[in-house]
Amino acid sequence: MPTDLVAKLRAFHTVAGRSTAAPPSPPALHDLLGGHDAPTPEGDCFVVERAYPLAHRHGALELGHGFALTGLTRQLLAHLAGGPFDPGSALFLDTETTGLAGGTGTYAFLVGLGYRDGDRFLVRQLFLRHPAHEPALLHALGTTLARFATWVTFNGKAFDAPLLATRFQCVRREPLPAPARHLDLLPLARRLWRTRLPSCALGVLERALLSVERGDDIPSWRIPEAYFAYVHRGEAAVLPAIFAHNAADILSMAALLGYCDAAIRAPHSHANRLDPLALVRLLHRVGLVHDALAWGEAALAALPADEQRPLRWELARLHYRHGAAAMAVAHWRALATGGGPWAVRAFEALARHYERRERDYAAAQRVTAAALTALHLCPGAASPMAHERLERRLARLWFRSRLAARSR
Amino acid sequence: MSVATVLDRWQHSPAIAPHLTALRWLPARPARYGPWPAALDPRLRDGLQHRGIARLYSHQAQAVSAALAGRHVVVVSPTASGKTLCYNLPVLHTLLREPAARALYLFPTKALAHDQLAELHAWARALDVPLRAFTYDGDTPATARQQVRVAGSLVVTNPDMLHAALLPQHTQWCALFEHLRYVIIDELHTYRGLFGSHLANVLRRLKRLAAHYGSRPQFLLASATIGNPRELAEQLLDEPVELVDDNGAPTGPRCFAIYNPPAIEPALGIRRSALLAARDLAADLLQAGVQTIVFARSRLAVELLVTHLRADRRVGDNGVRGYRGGYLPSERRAIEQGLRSGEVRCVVATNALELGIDIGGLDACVLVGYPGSIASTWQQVGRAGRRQALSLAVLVATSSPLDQFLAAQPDYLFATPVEEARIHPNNLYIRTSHLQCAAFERPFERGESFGGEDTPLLLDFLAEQEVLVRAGDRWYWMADAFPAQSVSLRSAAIDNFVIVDLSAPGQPRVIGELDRWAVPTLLHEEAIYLHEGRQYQVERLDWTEKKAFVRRVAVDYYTDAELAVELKPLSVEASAPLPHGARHWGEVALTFQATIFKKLKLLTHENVGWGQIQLPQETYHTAACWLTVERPNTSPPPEAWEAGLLGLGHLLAHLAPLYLLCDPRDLGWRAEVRSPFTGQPTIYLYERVGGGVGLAERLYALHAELLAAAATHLERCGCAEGCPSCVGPPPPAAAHSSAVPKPATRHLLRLLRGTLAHAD
Repeated sequence: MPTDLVAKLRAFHTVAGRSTAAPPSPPALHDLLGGHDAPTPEGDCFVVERAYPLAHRHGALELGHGFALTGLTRQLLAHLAGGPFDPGSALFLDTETTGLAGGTGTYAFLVGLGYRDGDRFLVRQLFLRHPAHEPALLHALGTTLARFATWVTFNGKAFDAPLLATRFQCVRREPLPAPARHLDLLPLARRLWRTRLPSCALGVLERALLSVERGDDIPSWRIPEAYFAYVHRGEAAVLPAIFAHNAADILSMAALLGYCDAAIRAPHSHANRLDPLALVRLLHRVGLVHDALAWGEAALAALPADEQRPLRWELARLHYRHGAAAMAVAHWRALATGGGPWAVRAFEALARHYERRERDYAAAQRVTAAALTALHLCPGAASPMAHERLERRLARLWFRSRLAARSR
Repeated sequence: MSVATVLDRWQHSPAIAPHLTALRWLPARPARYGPWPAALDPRLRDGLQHRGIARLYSHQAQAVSAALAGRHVVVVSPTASGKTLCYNLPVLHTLLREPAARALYLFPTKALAHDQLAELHAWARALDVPLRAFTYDGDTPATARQQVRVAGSLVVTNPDMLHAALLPQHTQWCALFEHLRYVIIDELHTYRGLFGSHLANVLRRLKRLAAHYGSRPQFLLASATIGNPRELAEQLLDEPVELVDDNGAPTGPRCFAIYNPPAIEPALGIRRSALLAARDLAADLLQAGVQTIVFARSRLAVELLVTHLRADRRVGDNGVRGYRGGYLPSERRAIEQGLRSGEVRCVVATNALELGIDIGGLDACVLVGYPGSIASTWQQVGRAGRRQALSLAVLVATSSPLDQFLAAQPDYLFATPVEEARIHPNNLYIRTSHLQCAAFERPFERGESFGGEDTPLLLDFLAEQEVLVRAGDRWYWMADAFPAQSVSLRSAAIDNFVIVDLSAPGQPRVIGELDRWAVPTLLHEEAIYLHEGRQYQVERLDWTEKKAFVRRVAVDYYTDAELAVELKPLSVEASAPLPHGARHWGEVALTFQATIFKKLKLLTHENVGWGQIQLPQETYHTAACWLTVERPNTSPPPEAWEAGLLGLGHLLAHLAPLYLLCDPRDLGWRAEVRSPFTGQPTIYLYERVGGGVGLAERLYALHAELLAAAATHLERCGCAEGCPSCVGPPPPAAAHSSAVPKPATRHLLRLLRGTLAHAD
């Protein structure tokens, strides 16, 4: 009967068939990876530890830069992480999983944990030799997680954290020891480099910003398959590549912190400059209004003209909103002299300013007329409605100025 | 005017009366009540009495008592008999006393779930029970999902969602699983065949996870009338279930008529079209102001009838609506609302309206053709029915053998018990699929059974396939896949095609959707697609994007596509000899391909053109039963073989559902004069459901009765050469007398039954 059953099942092709050779006995992981079995109350967990001096160069940058953040960067990251941010006491976390599908059947089989230990950066990697050992891995992981109030991840809010939460709930029936503060670098990178780079995948950032070349790295999409080959058939040859991949991800996160800091401190000194407009908006959004304006003003001068204008426009908008009308007017005037679409917009903003705030209808009429001239010189610079809108404004201003004259 | 007036006129009309082959009166039934369940929270009883419910009907009282005593219960009762109270009262009772308790409601469709949620809220308000009830389905916005998971004390969803979202993500639902007290399954009768077999496995998974979280939910089920409600419930749950089928709700008197359209050519067995006859009867009813529901067998028939009725001067297009799968939910809600308010005077529907969707009671019901099962017949008939007044149901027979059998022997319809619902939870394909899902949700341990003692064998097989990995006595999921996503609980649920109307320039508009199996024949390019009686022509079918682009047209024809079926046996499970042949059953691979379409004139159905269909073919595996015939030395000419095989196939396929108690659409057939597989003349009867649900095996066992019934029906039919009501019509140019179907089929039947006289 059993053979019948299996034969029938094969005929259904419900699952991918494979040769059924007995799995070879797994080679000693210690020889291959140099780790050790760490005892936990739930059994042993295989751990690999690597230490890097802070002077270690990952790509173009020394790791140490990531731990010497300047005031503004640190403030910004604190806002993003949800509390005071000190990279020196943060845990850098990255998982390798059996797939992206999620749900209760996806495991984190390699959890990389990086943290500063004196003048070294330590990477501890917890490895799941077999799903039966998951209680031990999660125990070891839980112990480490409990020591850190801050995490740094790359896409960890959407991926690693929910996945680990599911594992804790499945195996330990308890919630994940979630951190008080969690800095996810992916959304940050997206904000600052989205307009500059084709994508903000870690690999792209590494090549474009960090000058990291991974060489014969195993691509992420091949990792689940490689792990299955190990679990099902004991094929361990590719494991070192997965460990190296995971460690490199963690080093890149630390390096990326250092790079962000440098890019914020000296926005013009990098080939792939961050998007200054995006940074100003981000600083403003998290409430660092003064810093946003100060940083933007400082960055403005060295920018090429085509990038200056949108930044100027944004700075004018923010100045005006926060009461510094004179600064805004100066920016608008600067934009207005440049001609083109920005001039139309700037003249119109000035008109609004003179009409509503200053109630100087004569000045308002002058700049509105100037806006119409600019529009005439550069048709298509503004929306099709702009012309009509400006004409209407001009008519209203004429009427108002007459009214004001009479009441005087 | 009333139903009685119309009926009286029909009975005295020389054009109609002779064709009413049966007229049965079902007497009114008064209400019967039961005692208040002693255990029921007095607050609920006070609340009900306050709302004017002084007593519970007998079935409600019995169901609530049994539920409060902790037993699994299945309630059988028709629509509008207060069945929802049977399960809502125990749930509200428990929520009043244990605020942490949770309940899960399963309905087969989203629409029913939304209906029920509204009703639940109404009861909770009326009875003053604080209730945090939510629906959870594909339409639930992502922002609301978190709240449903954590705070929903009552979650209303469908089996597909339970299967693909709740169970595989159970860690997000621990609050629900930890305190799960009740699982409500309404419309139990819909869970037969493939869908029911899947649901049984989903429930295995649900119970397994509930046990893991330390809860043991009680199941309360409700069903329309079927032959074996308790057996079906127990098969689904794998536990004893108490049956409550003593319906105490009152009904008014009812009349059930069978109308057989007049024969135009008796010798050829050609009758007036059932569709047109139904149109006339419905128009009579509508003209008399009787609110009417018409049930048609196909979506095409629904659209044609809507068109015909609106064209009828006596009716006009006011208040005539269609209702079928493929209409958008908002459109359906509007029609349901219109029926309740009386604004919609007539609805032409497919069996999509069979389910417990609340449309109130109507006055009359016209069935165009036998719905395929006794259960469906009573359910559709049940749509017409008032508490007090007379209601009417008319079955209009088509020329199919089954309909003609029933028109000739109406007693069969009234005397035969309602069909039993069959499921086959241990269908290897279905069970193994869910075993994978279950392993994904939680590792398996030795000693855990999933549908049988052979569970470890299956687990080892999956480990050998590198889907699971075994360590000692445990099997762990170990593959990069989300198995629930690749298992669909119903053949047509997942891959819906969207129908986009391009008539208004620059404003594409979605007018409906269609399940994938129907797409090749209804939405191929150049097809005329009918929607709410309006004609659209398909301009482009995007197979990968699952979209059909259509444009409004006004033409005097419709299209009908042909589907070529190829069948290849994969294995033979059993064989046995017959007098001049053999019977077999086993697994087969079926390949479908839409080939051509015909353009048919709207009223006359005459063929006015055709075109080719270019679409990929579809293959799936299922079970089939086949009969082979030995060719004797004195072989009749090949055209006689062909006529006989086609005739016998036609006859068997149409009669078999009566003996299998299944829907005729669950079976397909095919005849081959020289089958490449058997090398002999062969008739295949195959199951349309992927994997098969046991029909083929039962056909194999029932062969003697089926062949005898075929012989009887053949002789009883009044036609000379064959007609649609027995072996199918003779081909137009049956020049060879040997190609006439009836005698050829008779000869074949005698060969197979061993009743061949020497003279033959």
